[in-house]
Amino acid sequence: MLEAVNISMDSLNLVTLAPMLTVIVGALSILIIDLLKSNQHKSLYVMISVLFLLLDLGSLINFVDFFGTNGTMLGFFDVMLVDGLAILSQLIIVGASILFIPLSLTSKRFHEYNYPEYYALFLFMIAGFQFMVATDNLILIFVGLETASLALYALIAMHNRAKSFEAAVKYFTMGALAAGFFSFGSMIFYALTGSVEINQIASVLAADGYSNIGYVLVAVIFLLASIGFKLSLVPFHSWTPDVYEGSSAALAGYMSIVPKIAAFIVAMRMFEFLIHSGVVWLEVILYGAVILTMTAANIWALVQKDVKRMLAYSSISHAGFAMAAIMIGTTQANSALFMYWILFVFTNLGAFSMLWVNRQKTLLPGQSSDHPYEKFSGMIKTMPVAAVMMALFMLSLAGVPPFGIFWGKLYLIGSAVSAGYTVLALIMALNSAIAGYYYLKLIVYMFMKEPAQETESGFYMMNASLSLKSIIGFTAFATIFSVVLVNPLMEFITAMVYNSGY
Amino acid sequence: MEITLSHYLVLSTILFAIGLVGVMRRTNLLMLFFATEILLNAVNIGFAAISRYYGDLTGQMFAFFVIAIAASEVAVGLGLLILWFKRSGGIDLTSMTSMKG
Amino acid sequence: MEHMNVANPYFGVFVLFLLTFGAFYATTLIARLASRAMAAKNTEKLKMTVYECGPEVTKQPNRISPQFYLFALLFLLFDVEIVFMFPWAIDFKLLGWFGLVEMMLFILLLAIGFVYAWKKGALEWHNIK
Repeated sequence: MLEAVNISMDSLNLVTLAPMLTVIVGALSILIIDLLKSNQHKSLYVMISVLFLLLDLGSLINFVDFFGTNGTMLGFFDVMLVDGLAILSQLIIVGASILFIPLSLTSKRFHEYNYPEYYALFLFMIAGFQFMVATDNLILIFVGLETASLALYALIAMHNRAKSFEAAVKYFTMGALAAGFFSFGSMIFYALTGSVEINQIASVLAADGYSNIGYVLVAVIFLLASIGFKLSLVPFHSWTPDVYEGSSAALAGYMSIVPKIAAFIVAMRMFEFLIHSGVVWLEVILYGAVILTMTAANIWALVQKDVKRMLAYSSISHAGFAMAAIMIGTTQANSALFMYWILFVFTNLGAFSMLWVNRQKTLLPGQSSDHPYEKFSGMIKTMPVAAVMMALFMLSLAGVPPFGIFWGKLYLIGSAVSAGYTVLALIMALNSAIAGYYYLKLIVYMFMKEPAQETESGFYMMNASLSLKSIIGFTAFATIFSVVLVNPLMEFITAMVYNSGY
Repeated sequence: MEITLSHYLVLSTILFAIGLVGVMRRTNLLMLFFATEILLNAVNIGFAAISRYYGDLTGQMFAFFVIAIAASEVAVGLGLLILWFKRSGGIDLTSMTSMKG
Repeated sequence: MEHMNVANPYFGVFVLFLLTFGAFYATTLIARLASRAMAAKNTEKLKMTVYECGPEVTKQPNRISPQFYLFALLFLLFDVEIVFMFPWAIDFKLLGWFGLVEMMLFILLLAIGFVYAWKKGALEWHNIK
């Protein structure tokens, strides 16, 4: 007879689960409140979501202290892994979510925000992303990825227009394919090494000197494809503009930030050992994907007629920039990725919130999409403050000093040069120059053109409310004063990344 | 002749290829969901076989989770499909052309 | 690999069986082809429709109540979650209290989902008359 296993609570280290459990409890309590007393006002659910996200943030800040003294934490049979990467990315995820949730307090009434399920699904999604980054076990990464994605499909579809259903179905088919690719790639790694933990896969592969290099390449291509779907790297990007156009502008802004940082962490854990293995082919594959993503997305963005689609392509291009950091793979580059993405959170969320503020309930006559360039023409005369804000975010996205993303680009290109990737650095600089054109195009529309006819009926700022304005104000503040934030932030990030060995 | 690990892996790969062709070629959404199920279950065969080969339970655990995820994926997907059907009266992917550019 | 043993007493029966099988299909095939070739073809539109004593027939789409899909989806989800209980049941003694507590938490989560679906009216069969 087998002896019953004795599991002590200390060995489980349940505290590693605390951040995810917080948001899951939050989501469940929203559902239970709805069951007990339905038809509450949406501001109650917003308050509960923000409260639990703040608790989540508090436990993460606690982890930062703990990590500083004790180093990496393992928990739950060594499945949970709380290192610097996990803590940093969870801070970004939860921070961006706290900025996103108040965007649902619009002055126009939108269908989805009156359902408590919207907030519950949102919190479940955050828990999924947190699981995805706080582990190096492929099973948990897969489960987290799918929890988050399935919740996200539902969130997109809840926007309740024909376009959003279409977007959700398109995203769903792509996501299902990505799930298949991920599981097949991890199956090949499991067949090669007999383990599904990334550090063990790395050590087994290194021990037999990459003798099965062909199979490793196939597995890497499958995993790159599945992560590429989430990151919208170029051969796998085709869903991005459609999905962004179909979902609400606020959710599109969120989707350009949070799913991607989670996927970046998975890519960083996965490709870190592969890049340092010295196999040339792996590097060539990644190099090609990075260059293609940066350049092709920029060229597509040039010809767009809708601002939201333009921002979608620009976010693909920015993802390519950040992916370059993973390909370079030095500590400096990995820290630059986090820096870049934190600044990108503020700028991109601000830009998409500006679109969200200017959203009207129905399409104007003669308009095929929500935010064509013409809608913004002459905005400086009708709504000067909004036009200046929008211009600020566009300049930051274009990488004009001293606004936010300039510093991210500076660190990233600097790390590329110091790691010896001079050509890559040159291509990145050139791409920034191309990207400047389409951001400036919007500024030209806003500042140089005459206002459109319909402005008397006042379709700017239709959706504005105090909470939306304060979120935009906060992101604008962070974008302008990033100069003073950058240095201390960089020191903090570098310490975190270096201490977790990346 | 003895059935070895490689046979299972070849079977799994062939099924995966069938599923992949299905995802690429089918325009009927329901058929596309079937194809994604084939994709995931092909992987399950592989995991179970490898798990047996190594005498290690991790692969079977992965297979369990893949089954659960496949089921929830179908649940969400069918929900979307019904919504889309109510809106447009068809479940053909070629009808999804309202967004271009 | 051994050669096939033709001397088996039942081999003749087997051959006969195969021949009968082939002959049967050949006969039916020939009969079908012949009758199709010789038949008089009258595919007039009215003749091909269902008999409806006068008015033109309109095709009724086969509508299944949406409630049915909801039931099917809920069944699918709760059914598949059982998968996680089998390994636990097999190793019940080995896992002891830890496993029990874990499984109770899991069932608690499922129960919350179940109560949610119930309260939202997903389990009521509205359309039966």
